[in-house]
Amino acid sequence: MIELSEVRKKYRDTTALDGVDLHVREGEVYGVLGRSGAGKSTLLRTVNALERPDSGSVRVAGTEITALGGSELRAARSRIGMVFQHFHLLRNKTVEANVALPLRIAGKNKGDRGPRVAELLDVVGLSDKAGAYPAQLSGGQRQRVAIARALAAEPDVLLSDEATSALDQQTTVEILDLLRRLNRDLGLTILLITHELQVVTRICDSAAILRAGRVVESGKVADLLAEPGSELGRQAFHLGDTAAPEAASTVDITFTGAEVGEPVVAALVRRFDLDVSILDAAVQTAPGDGGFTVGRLRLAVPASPRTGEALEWLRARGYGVEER
Amino acid sequence: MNLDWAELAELLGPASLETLQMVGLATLWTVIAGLPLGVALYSLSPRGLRPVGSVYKILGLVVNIGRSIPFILLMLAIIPVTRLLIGTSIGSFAAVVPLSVAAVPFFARLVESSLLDIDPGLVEAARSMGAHGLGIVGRVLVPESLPSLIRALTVTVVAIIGYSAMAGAIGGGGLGAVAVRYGYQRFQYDTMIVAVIILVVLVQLIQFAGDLVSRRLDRR
Repeated sequence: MIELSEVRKKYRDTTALDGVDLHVREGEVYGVLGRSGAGKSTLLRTVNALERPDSGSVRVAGTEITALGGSELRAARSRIGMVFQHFHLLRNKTVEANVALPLRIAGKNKGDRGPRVAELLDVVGLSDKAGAYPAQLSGGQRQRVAIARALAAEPDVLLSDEATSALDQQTTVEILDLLRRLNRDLGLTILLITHELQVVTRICDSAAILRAGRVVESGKVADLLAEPGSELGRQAFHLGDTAAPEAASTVDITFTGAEVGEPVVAALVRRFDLDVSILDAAVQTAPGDGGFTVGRLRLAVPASPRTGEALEWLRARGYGVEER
Repeated sequence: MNLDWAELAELLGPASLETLQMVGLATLWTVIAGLPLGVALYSLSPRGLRPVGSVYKILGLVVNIGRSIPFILLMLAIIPVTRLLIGTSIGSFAAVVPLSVAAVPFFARLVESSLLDIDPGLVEAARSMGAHGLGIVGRVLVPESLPSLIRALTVTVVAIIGYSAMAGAIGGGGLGAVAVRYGYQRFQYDTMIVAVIILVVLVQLIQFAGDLVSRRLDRR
């Protein structure tokens, strides 16, 4: 649905995007995770040509966006919804008028706008706020209005620019769940950028990590979590720097699916006579159907002639093993 | 003071009407010309919709020149233009020309600064919806800055009233002309004082109305 290849963008002496490739499949939620200054914002804005890349290709639903201009570009933009960290609602207009804005821009007449706006407000659960002004709403409600507005012109794609970063924890979860629901119910493809890991682990099917304008890692969230040594896994399990004492080695073991709950520690003790101790552990559930569970266990494994054999045995059984 | 109220009313009534006419017409022309000029200044400015540095600088220079010429000099300088447009350079009708010429650049700058106060994120949001330049101006910039534009217009109208009194001193009509003629030239200070009081009341009313409308429109 969205395909970026070799996208580069420079601002004077800073390189915002340094050859980015990204592939967002139709109907998925794709998260780009990165710190501020990593180039996320620029990346997102190349998709609806609010930013023009210096080179590279940006295709949305098969159309080369970088080649468009004038009315063709405006038409393409109306097929791509966008929500922002600070909502960007018209403060002197009612909720209703805000949601109707894209319809007015598209030249829809009043008779067509009314029912569509009512329907959208119902979808985001704000039917009773149609006549309110943004100042009378909470942050979460304002973001719902912005989401309704972004969906007004029935886009195929929704771009989210840190949509939950200005919201508290509870509201963040509500907005994320709303986005996920819209993705499922409408088949909406969502590309979001965020600096919050929980956004990725809660609603994204796929993710990329962006650092200094480069994608350092990308793939299905479930695969990235399960992969020993992945950046996303390291951040998600957050086992930190806990390390085994001298004369023992630190080993991270990653379990997926059915392996979760198997008596790994007991096996190491009984089978290999290794007195391992647990340093840290965490479990993550990857988003998507079935709630794919991934766990990671950090063990201190004492130095022994059988250590290598034990780790081989774990690998053979399908565990992810990473010696640190 | 020994005022003959009937005589005073006969004198100041038509003069007040003249002032209202002059200020009203000048305000109309100021909005018609100043609003687009202000939008153009904003659009071409470095933070605007379509920045064009060179054109912005030239336009800005013209506006600044317009604003820096003292009104009395401006009025005298454009007498040929006034004659061309109106047929005469005397009277309140003729004064509308220099009043508009003086107020347009003033109002245009205020419009520019009102528009610059709008969060650029709003403009970006409108762009992301596929809006074109005029659509952004009409559907986002003007509605969103309306309270601030009304305040700018209020300040401008008050300035026009001030200019109109000056215009009265050199051939224009209205309350300013009466105040100068009777107060300064004939030493009928009572007439002058009443004319000035009417001007003060007029300014107060306009400021009050402007504040009221602006507050009503402001939902922030």
